[in-house]
Amino acid sequence: MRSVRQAADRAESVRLRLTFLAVLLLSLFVLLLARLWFLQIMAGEQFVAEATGNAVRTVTLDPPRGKMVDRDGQALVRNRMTPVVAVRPDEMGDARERVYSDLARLLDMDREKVVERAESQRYGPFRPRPIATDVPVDVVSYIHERSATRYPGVRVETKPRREYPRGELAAHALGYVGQISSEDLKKERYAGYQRGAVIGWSGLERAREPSLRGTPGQRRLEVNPAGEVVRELGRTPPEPGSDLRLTLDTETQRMVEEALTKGMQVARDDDLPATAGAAVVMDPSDGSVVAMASRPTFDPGRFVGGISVDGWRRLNDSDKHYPLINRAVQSAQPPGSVFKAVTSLAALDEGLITPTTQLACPSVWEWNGFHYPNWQSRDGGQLGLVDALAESCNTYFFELARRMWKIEQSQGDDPRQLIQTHAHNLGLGQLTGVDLPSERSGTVPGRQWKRQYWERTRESTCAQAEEARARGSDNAELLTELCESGWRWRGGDAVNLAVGQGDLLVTPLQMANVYAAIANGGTLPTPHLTEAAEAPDGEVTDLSPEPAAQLDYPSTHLDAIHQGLMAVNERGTASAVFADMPVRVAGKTGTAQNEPKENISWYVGYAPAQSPRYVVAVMVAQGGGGGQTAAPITRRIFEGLFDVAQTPLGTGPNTD
Amino acid sequence: MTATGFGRRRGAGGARLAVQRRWAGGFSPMRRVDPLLLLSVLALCGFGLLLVYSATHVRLESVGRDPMAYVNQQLVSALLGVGVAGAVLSVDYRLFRAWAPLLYLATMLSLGGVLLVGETVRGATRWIDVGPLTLQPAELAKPMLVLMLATLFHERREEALGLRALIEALVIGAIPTVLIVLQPDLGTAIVFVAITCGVLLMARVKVRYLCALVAIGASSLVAVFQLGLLADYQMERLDTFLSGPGSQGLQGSGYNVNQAEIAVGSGQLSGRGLFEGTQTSLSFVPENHTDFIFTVVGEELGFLGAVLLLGLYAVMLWRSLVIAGTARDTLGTLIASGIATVFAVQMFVNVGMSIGLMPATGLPLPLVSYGGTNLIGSMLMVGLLENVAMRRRM
Repeated sequence: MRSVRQAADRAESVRLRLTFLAVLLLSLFVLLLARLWFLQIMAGEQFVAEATGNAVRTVTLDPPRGKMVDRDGQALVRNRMTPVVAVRPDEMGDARERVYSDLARLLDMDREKVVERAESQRYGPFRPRPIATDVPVDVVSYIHERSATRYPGVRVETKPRREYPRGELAAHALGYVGQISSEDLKKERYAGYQRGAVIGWSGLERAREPSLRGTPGQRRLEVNPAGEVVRELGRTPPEPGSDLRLTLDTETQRMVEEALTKGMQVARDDDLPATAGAAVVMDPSDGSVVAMASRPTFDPGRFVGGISVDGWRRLNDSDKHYPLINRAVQSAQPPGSVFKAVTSLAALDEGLITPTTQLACPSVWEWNGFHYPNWQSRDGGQLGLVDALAESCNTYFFELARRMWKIEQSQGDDPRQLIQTHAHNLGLGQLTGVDLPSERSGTVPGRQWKRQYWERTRESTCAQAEEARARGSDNAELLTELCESGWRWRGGDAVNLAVGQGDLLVTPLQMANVYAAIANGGTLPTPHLTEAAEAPDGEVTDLSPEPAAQLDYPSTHLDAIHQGLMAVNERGTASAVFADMPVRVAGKTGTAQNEPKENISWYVGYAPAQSPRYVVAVMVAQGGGGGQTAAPITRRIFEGLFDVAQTPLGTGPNTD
Repeated sequence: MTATGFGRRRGAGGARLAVQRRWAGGFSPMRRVDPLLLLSVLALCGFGLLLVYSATHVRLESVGRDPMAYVNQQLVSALLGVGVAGAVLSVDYRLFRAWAPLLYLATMLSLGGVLLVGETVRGATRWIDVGPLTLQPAELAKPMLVLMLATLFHERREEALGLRALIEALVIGAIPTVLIVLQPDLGTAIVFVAITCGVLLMARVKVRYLCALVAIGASSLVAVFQLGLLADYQMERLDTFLSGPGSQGLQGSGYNVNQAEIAVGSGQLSGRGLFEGTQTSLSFVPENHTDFIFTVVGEELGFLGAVLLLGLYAVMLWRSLVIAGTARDTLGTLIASGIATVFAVQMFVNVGMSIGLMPATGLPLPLVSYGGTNLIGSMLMVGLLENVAMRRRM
């Protein structure tokens, strides 16, 4: 019995202890399940993101950039496939330093240069960094054979490389490409671009970036913990950019550039500085730009693959007159007498004169005790508008300025300003909307503009006046007046504006556009360099813009000015230059004072005068009088355009 | 004599037959195999094969090897294990009592031998080469310790258990524990401590002794930390564990644990699909076919898959405890509960380290992780469990 009870006790004890053990084990399960619930159900999403971030890499595939052809389909910008040696330092492992040394020797480069490019932070991870382009074939095959052993992480890729087959031709209009800067990367315009992407930096390359770029492709790669690609998860091929058909004509462009270069050279031989210049040839019927030249110039090909620091510095040197600036659109200058066409139109349209109204053209004209001279010392007598334009008689236009100023003054503080209104109608003081970047809008000064300018500069003007008074300088009186009432739109301001001097600033393209509107009978075109874009699938998009404005000037007014512009070349300021010109050219010289520098030489004209096919605007900074430098260049350009016999290019007489 | 004998035999025939039938019942063991235990074990093995394939096939393929290489090896081990289990349950477990001291001694010698001639992998000496096989004596030491302690307490089943029996048991448990700490293999050492504790609990040692033991254990743990008796890498792992995996950055010793947690966590409810886990197949989680195999379940089969796996273990442990409760004798009870402790602790420590609940140690997931000795040793223990089950009381 005792043993039976003992056995029962034992069984009882075992059952109890087993239960205890079971509870212990159960609690382990509960712990595990609770933790799993937290990890997988409550925090699961975050871990999914981490797992994806671990294993999936996206690599952008750059699309080939679109080409540019001229209006006849001749290539101006294209791509050339070229072998590029690129490296992925992360794949080199311990061999990195040795590979850099070997590459430097093989590619005949400085080792520092190799390291600098290989370790460049301008590229995202998983993108090979280019070390050298245009690598000779034997070097390519040498690397190919040994890439697994001697050159880990080094690859030779065949990549499209921007090529400008005509060198410097139309460099400013075409522009150049470069790697996207960190500032641009932040802009909305470049959303979706990645570090290291090549973008247009200037010219059409920049303006037409959205068409030229195409759509980047993507490779989604699965990588292991070492960063090695395990497999490709997916690939979207890049879509090449659209090709652009430009309005430029290669032969005309070359001829215009030669004329500009030669004309500036002739001016320099004549002891004029002629530091910079621009020439625009435009079709007045639709604003398509046939040629656009700017001097000094540069070679856009030098930017491909990155320009050297030294090269960049040279291109931005003031002594070299900033070759990168496209002076046809990015440099606003006073136009001088070229502007008289605008003043004339204002005077006619506001009813101050009729085409036949005779006004005096004295050698000196006086207003409020100030004396304003004409550019000629002889008295011109009584002149109608046509002759006033032909002779470019300043004093005639001073008289118009005085009359208009008086009308404005009678209207109180905020009058309708006559010249400014018409200048504005003709697109001055605003962007033309040409498809080029960094266009300058220029300035059409007036009462409001002057007040704002005065407010902006009052402090420094008044400080200068203070200082001048203390020194007893001659300027003291003038500066004090400027300080106190410099906001006032004075008669002198009106006089200056009427002849295109003073604070008026325009670009050569703006002036060409104004003359195009006169030539075509009142349509202000939108200048443009791109005609159409052709997508890779063959779809052509017309890119020619609508005219900027339809001006409703009576044809009699436009015709009066047209007559005047023809007279300029027949018996006026450019008659010597255009003597015996087989094609009849209408145009106007301009000589803008730019003290202390030499005058800015202008000529804007169109031909054939009766049915204009081309407008030409030429501006030469420090080129002297309009008749001296700009007019001869323009003649040379028209000779080229109409394929007539060239006359020797020399400086013309120093006319206004 | 013959007649008498015959007659007596005949006269006593009824009772004797009854006794014989009872004994025969006890000794028709094949009919009394625990089927649920067997099924859960086989299911775990199958699960393991699947997970090993998932964890290794991409890596094997990428180096141009047969993607089934690990699975095939594991399958061979499993079949070997079944053979071993069959051999173990064909002999009445009570006969092992006589061999227990000898087997224990042999195992302790091999553990010592490992320290002298063993192969060192990543700072730990755990493996011993036997011809073409690499053996881990520690895996065999687990059942041997269970058997030895069970035998000890079975011999003293009629006595009131005094301090002497307790100290004997502690010494028997301490020898392999110390030898394994010297390898050093802290994870396995924990299993040996757990075995000792489990058997002591079930051996009806007085509760106050057990309480005292727990107190001493706790204070010596503190002492180990205070005196800096742990190796640097062990401290580092513990430190990682205590400060949380995120704090170590991706390259520190927190890497494994962090990646394991990402893997398991990213599985969410139903997983990313079998063979679809990037963490697993791309080897972001290292050792994912051995120590971290649970991450494969977690990532590819999600919470549901994890519950399924843990459920299989739960069935297995439940059956083990039932076997312990119905065992014919103290020996059987102690063997079954000791083995249940081994499986439970290994499972908990292994899964726990994959989900940031336990510090990282080198313990395999029993029956599932890739590794021959572990699988064969586990099957041997399953054989012992079934052995006890087959010969249990009616």
